[in-house]
Amino acid sequence: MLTALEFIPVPAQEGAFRAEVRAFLNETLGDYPFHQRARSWMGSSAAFSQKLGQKGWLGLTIPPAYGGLGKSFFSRFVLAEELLASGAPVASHWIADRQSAPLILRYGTEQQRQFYIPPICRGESFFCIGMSEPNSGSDLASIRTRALRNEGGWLLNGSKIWTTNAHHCHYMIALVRTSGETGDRQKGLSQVIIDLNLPGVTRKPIVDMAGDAHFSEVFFDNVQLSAEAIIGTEGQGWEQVNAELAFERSGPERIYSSIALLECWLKALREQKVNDAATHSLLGDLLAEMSTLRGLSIAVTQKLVDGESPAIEASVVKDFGTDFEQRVIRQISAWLGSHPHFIVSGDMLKTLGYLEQMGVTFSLRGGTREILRGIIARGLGLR
Amino acid sequence: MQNSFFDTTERLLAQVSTPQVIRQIEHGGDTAKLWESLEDSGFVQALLAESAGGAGLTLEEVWPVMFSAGRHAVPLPFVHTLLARAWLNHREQVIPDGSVTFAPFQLHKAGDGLTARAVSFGRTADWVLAQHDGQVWLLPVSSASVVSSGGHATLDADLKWPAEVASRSLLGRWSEPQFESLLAIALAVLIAGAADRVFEMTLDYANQRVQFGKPIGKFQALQQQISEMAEQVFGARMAAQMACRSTSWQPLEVVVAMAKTQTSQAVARISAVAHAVHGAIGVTHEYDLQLYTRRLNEWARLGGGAGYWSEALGATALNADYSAFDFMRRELFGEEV
Repeated sequence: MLTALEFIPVPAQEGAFRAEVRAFLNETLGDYPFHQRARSWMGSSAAFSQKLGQKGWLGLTIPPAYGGLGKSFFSRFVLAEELLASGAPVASHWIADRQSAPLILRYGTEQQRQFYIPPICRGESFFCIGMSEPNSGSDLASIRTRALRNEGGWLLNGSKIWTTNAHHCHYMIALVRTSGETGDRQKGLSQVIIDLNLPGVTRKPIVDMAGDAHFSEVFFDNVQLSAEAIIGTEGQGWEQVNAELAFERSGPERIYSSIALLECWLKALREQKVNDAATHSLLGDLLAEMSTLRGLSIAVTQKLVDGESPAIEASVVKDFGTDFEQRVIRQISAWLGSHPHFIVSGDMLKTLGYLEQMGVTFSLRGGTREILRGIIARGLGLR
Repeated sequence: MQNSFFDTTERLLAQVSTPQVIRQIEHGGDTAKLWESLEDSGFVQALLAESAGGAGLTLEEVWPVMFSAGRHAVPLPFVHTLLARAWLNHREQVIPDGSVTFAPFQLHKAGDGLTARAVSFGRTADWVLAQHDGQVWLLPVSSASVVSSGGHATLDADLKWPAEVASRSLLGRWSEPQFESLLAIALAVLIAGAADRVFEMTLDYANQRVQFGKPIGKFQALQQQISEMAEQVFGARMAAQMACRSTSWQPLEVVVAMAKTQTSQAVARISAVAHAVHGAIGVTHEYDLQLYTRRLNEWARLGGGAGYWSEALGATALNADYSAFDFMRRELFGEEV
């Protein structure tokens, strides 16, 4: 059963690594504006990802035999945190590094590991995750995209939607039906790796309300996959996806999505010498919750270090964290409304505008608030 | 929690700080027997050096004991006394027998005496460490007039001492606030513990209470609320535990500010969900939930509530030179920047 998380400090020896990452980011990002930083892990730059790859910082926890550094989950936490706190454009490699490489390492064949993982670590191979479909959102087990066995391996038909960054990626790891019918729900699902440049794959970027195209719809029309396209065990896709979500949901990316706005606001408060009780109180309130969430996130990282799969604990941090991320936007926006004489730079307004528009997705992406709370309830023994 | 101090304290408090004992003490019952059990446990002296008759433990080591005290809503200032004795020892003062609470706010000194209002555990404490205008007193509650302050069955009180008692109880002068963060950390940890208990009760009740032919915990509407409650309870516990990260008896004020902010603001939602799930039975005198939620509401407000401590934390952050992220890492996590 789900139990409370114990505080654990980030190991002191990670300090030197953090300093190295910070120096690199200061040099590389320079005066990258806040409204770009606000895009966080939705902002993509293949060139930036390749630079990280050159530093050896992609696939940090992956064993050196597959091109990684074999470092601990705490090193990964520190790197992720520095990248997110600075708002670096990490979207290109983010999913490959966070989810795909660990998934392939855990479930892949030796051949798959050797083929896919080293280019991920070099920042040359980007992945996306194909889960939702036009008629399958929160009800993921109802997916209809199907891979049928044939002489060449698997013939894929169907489509995926809301796939983050699909139009900039080389591969998709998709959850598809490989046997049975839609009514069989979780049974008969498998994960397949799809080369997005194969004939029959069409990617259609979807423009979001902030004017970006951070996600896509992807169509599969008789796409021929090889027999080796299956990752892990045929029919075990549902279990594998759930294990993978522990990686997705446990990271600090569910705390810092609005930090560009918080930092931008704090900087402006100092510049304009605002120093009143209500402002102090709001700043202190946000810092208190951010610290609490960081403590919880580090505790989940410790569980990864201990070899556990803290999927439910990660859901706690994610749901709590996205609530905080949205509160930062709401409350700073309200503060600005209460201070009409405060001079707000164009950069800050763009930052706020972006987050006000896209902040609503924070509690949708990667599992909605309601789904996460259902997962937590199950962990508490209520379901 | 896998911790031998926690297990020991849980076993003790399950026997001596029962709902029945809490009710008796709330209604004016004798506190001597309960205090004797707490004193016998040795934990009241835990933060004192061995040379001073203590156990030489750090705040970090004693955290599970204090958390357990919150879980059992001990109706005496047990956690306060742990910290008060450490302060007295640190200031080379004589430690009196019995329990000690803090009164850093709402002091009023006039010709006819000294008044301390809304004192946490003012009804059940033996002594009060009070500070006002740079003066610090150690005042005996036995010489005070005690008027209950707060809602039904509160343990808080307005205390008033005659001028001559106040003048002979003066310990000395300290210009800096001495007791604000000690009271705040005591209450933050108590909130975290009581929240944990209330959460446990809520889960049990949701699994047992049957309506519409099934346990009410099977309904999504309640699952969603209980999950949110879990987040707030875990968060309060994390914040309180962070405030206890100290290798001495003394907490760091800025981390205490964080913890009292977080725990206090979490109370409203935690208490609301607990009562929503329990329905009418939860507000009855007979049922135990109210023994803990009444304390939660009081503790959230006392010793400076969320707004007071967030203001202190925010002022420190605003006047620092670091980004919000680095301020957090440096001041609240003790990391190098």
